[in-house]
Amino acid sequence: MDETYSQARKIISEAITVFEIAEDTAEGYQQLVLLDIIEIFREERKKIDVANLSQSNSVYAALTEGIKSAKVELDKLTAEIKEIIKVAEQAAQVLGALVKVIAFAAKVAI
Amino acid sequence: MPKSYLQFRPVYFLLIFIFLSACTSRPTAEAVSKFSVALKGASSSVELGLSEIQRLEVAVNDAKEAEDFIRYDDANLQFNRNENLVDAVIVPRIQFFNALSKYADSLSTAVSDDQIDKVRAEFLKTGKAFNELGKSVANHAGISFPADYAVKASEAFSNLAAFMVEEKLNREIPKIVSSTHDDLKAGVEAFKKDLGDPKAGGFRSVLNDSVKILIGQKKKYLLVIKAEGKTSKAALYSEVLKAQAEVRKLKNTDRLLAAIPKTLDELIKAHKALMNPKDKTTLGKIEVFFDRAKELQAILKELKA
Repeated sequence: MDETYSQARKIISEAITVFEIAEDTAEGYQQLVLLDIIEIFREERKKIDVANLSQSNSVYAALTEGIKSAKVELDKLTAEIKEIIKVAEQAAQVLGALVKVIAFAAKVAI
Repeated sequence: MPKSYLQFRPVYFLLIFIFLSACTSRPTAEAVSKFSVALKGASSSVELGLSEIQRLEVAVNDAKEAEDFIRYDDANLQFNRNENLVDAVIVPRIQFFNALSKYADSLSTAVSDDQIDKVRAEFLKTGKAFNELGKSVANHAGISFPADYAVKASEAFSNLAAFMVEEKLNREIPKIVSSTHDDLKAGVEAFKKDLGDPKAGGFRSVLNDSVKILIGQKKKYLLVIKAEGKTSKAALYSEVLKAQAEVRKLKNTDRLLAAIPKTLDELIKAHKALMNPKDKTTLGKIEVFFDRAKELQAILKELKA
């Protein structure tokens, strides 16, 4: 495909150049016709460029899935970290409770 | 040194070893932030460039329909008649860069220092309450209460919790970043190739052809209205100026596409940096933790006494 694509592209590009040179000096109806022809060639060149690009569509789809999986892993990690934070908060509450116990013990001591 | 500390010394050394193993490969929040910014910049540039190509495709199709209407008496104005060539190739690429952008967001959230700070803040809050209570008890009862030590003990716990979060990040983030890097690099390299050269195929060429087709359409439109002889020279001149301004605007889009490879290179560089960062700050936090652990033992002794 690559070689055929390059050859086709080269032929179309050369044709566009020839018609553009002619269009530069043409006038009136002749210029209008040449512009039509150039447009047809440009559309054709676009078509084969797009067809060539579309060959790698499936590659992007696979890579996108890979990146999405990594995102899922990161989100899981964040959830696990949140769990650690929750445990830390609970531990802080235990410390708070300890404060109360000490306060009570101090009162008793008094 | 208290006996109990010596008793657990091998455990501390084991912990230090684990800490050191982990902290040698931890991505810093700064590196992640740099990567996120690069990724957002690259993704939005790519999306903007690709959207512009889509917009041009619609403009080309509209211009063709308008031309048919003007040039041919028997032409009926039909909308959406022309095939949209570019959507099929643009959509998968936009999806790839969208996924990358979301991945960067998740990475940034996971590594955010806010989480570690939140843990620390929670403990310090309790430590301060401890301190206030100690002062209060001391004032009322006239007894010696080790409130300052209690605050330091609270700091020690907070550092431990913060460390637990960091240690997890140290272990997991490089694994995820390493597993993604090849996909990211492959996608970016493929896209750089896809952009191509205006003279050799690829998106820049597609864009160039769309712009040139539109220029041709403008020319044809002006030729037709000039040939009809119904439009004044002043009106025709105004039309020419309008067409020229529009064409200049369209040509600027290629500059945007041409700048994308450099941004993408920055992106890969920033992402790679996440795989081999050098963060030595964790070690310092561990040392603080052990100092506080010793002080905590002292507090417990005093309380027992």
